[in-house]
Amino acid sequence: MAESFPFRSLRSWLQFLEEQGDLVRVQEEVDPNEDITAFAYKGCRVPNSPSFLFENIKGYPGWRIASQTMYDWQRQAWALGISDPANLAREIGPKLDQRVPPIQVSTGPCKEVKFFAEDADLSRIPFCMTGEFEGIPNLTAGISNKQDPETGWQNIAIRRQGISGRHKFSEYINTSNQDFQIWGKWQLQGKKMPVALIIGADPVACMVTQTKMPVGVCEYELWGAFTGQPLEVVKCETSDLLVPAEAEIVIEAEIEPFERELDGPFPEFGGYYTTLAWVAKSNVKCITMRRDPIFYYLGMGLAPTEGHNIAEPMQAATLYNLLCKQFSGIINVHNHGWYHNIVQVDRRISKAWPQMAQAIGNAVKVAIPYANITFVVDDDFGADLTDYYELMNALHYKFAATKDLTVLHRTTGDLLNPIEPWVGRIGWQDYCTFDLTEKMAPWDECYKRGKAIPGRAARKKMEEGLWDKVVGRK
Amino acid sequence: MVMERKDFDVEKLWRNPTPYMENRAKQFENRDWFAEHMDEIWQKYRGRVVAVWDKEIKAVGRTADEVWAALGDKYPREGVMVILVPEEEVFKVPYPADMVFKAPAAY
Ligand SMILES: [Mn+2]
Repeated sequence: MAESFPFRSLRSWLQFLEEQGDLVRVQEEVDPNEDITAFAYKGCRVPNSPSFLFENIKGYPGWRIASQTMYDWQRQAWALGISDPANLAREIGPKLDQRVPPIQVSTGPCKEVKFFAEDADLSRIPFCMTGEFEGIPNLTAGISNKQDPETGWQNIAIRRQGISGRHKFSEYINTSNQDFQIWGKWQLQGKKMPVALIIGADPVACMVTQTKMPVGVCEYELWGAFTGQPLEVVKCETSDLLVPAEAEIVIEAEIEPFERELDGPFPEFGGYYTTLAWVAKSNVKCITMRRDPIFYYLGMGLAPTEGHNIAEPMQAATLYNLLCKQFSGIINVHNHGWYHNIVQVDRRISKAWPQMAQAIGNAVKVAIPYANITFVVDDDFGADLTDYYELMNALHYKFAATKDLTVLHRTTGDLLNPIEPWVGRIGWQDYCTFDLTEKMAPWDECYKRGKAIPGRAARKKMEEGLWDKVVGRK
Repeated sequence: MVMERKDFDVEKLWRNPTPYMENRAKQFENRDWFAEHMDEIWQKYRGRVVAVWDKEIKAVGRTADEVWAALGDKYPREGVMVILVPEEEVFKVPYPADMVFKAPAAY
């Protein structure tokens, strides 16, 4: 019998996927050095690719590695108990204002086995490589928990760690992230910062990390808001950090205030390798896990990847939530490949306010400082915001750059975006808003004459069976 | 539950590591040597792919394939550290501690 929503563990989620016929168990031996990432890479580039559970890991007999289980909006809709993926932003958006705090339990499956000090050896875990230039494996699927030393706020986020020793790892703490602000406080106090890396959590625990919440909001509370039930968490062995009780693996460490570790090069989500850099260094204190742990590989590198994909619905939901508070007539929001957003508005409102698209574009940039492009479309676009041809059509038929393009020059960017070489620089990039909505008079005369498609009656005939009868397939 | 693997006890494997795991640990040592000698290596090999094993550069090439071909099967793939040495200088990410305290010599 299928486990159903909400999924409290990676394994109940895998079981659900298997019962949907969506999970492929891979019996062939795979090497953590790049074999698994090659499956993920191809899986993002062929239609209807399954999610994977690798059951025969070279050098790690008994271990299993899951991957691609959150790739595409359909799987994420299943994980969130939402029937139509196109409604993800609209259904999750309002829930971002709700808080259901986690409940702390005394112990959980993530503590079945505990390794401390010298025993807490990272060479024993099947960390994967994503590319051929990495040198050492990197953890891509670790949910990192860090705590504000002044307020006690715990912030969780998926970060990347370079596994550089038996008992240490590097973490390039991106200066535009909340983690950076938290770590800054610890540094100024000259103190080591406890960190917990959670590997193999349930899918919603992974997804909530991709929302864009203000400082002070612990994303565990969104787990409860999304599912209607509190997340069960347990306290770490070596700190006050809380981790999901049902996680597969937890690595507890401390980030040194003054020491640095060499990091990279890594094939980042910016689509290219980052360079070598001296970044934050963590020393491992303890590793706890299930007795039969399942590791997780989250695809990274050139989009599309599972790493990009899990960010899309949550960023779209974040924007939907914020935009609805500032504008009327917001119909839906889509995020594509992390940096690009499509906002759909009601044309009866946007036509009356010529700068509405521009105002929306500005609001998006405030909410997501590294956003790159925002397309504002209206209901003429159709319901499917993933329709690439509709987007191209809108660019062709609704857009004249001199009046419909707004560029914010030299604004905030992401250091991992290679548009601007980020070595020693700020990561400047330009941001732009494309107004693809129908315009006011005198620019709307042609639209008023009607869309250039077959008549309603003729199209209806097709939908009512003529196509199927003649073509014989759907 | 179907997803459990009752016959596997990670603790036993942990105490009896496979050669692969020991090779991975060796790769970490190779990484440490590389990091310690970063400045000389960058001066000499920037823009190249290098292979590090046992405190030595064992192969250099323009691509990873070239390096692996030169290495042959002399070293375990999960132990030797094959890495791109980027053209640009190694970046020191500026952190608040550096603004307030003197950075340690190693950094
Ligand atoms: Mn946060």
